[in-house]
Amino acid sequence: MSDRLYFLFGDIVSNLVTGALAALVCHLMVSLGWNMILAMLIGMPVGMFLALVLGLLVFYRHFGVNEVMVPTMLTGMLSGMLISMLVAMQPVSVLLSTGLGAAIGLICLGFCNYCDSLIRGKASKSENGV
Amino acid sequence: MDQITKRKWDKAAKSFDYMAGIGAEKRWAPRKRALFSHMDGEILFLALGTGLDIEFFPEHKTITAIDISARMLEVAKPRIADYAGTINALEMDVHDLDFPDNHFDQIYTSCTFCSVPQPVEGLKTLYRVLKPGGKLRMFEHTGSHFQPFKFMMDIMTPISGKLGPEMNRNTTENVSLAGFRILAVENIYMDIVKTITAEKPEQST
Repeated sequence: MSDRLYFLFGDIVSNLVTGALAALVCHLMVSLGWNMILAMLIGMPVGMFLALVLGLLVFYRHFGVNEVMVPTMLTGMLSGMLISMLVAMQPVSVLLSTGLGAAIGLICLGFCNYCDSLIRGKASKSENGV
Repeated sequence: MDQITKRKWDKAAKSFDYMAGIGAEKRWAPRKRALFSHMDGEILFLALGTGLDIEFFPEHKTITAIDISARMLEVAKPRIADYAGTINALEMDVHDLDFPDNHFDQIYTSCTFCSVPQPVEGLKTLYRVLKPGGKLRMFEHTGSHFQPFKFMMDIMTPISGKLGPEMNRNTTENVSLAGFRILAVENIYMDIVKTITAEKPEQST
């Protein structure tokens, strides 16, 4: 497998797994009827913490640190927030929550790659903060 | 010598290669190799760590390399021995470099200034030991100027700083604050992983 495919595979898997796991944990943690703002505020750090733990234990070693950390932290944050809100507002199956979490992971990865394509390359002086 | 930083990295020495040894190095290999290909003259490299960067050094160079952690340098020994050139590895704190003024032609760093406790002071010390007209070439990860990445890196830094690097440093600005003239900044991943090339102005002493 070429390096490019290897890292593409790693990026996809790490975000799918992080999104799904953050969603699963938040689904199990939050109950129907919770205040949705409270659920969102709890889900956010939980998702980010899970992303960090998964990264440290599994993904950073194999697929790189910053390039994995940034999208997976975003995935953990958004998956935790959105799934917690959803579960607080309406009955949702575990399967749906987990699937939505994984989908959030893919969207976050796409967003980060898009941002990277805009920012990468020679920086202007104003971007340097100098 | 900063004993707190030294202890932190001494502690990290055993597991450092496990965490950073495959993904990050493989991902950054072409960029690091390109940056280090400019090595010439009297060279200072910091921080050598466990020597993961040595494989990207061009051959037949004489390099003075420092690290604050003796345990990191201990792990680096086989890599230093395998290098087709000379690496003089020294245990030293960047804040307190034991080299004369205007001594080096070039200084290289690799993911260093995310961990130096007083980055501007450390960079000023590099400025002192670099010859006028000498180049500072850095491969660093920094904070981001863009949201939501800036927010995430700001809230991660208190945790990551305990284990090793800080995630939200503004190294480019720090280089400028230390007196260097920035020649180029190239973003490698967003504005988070980047190379910085700077120069000590000729008229400086």
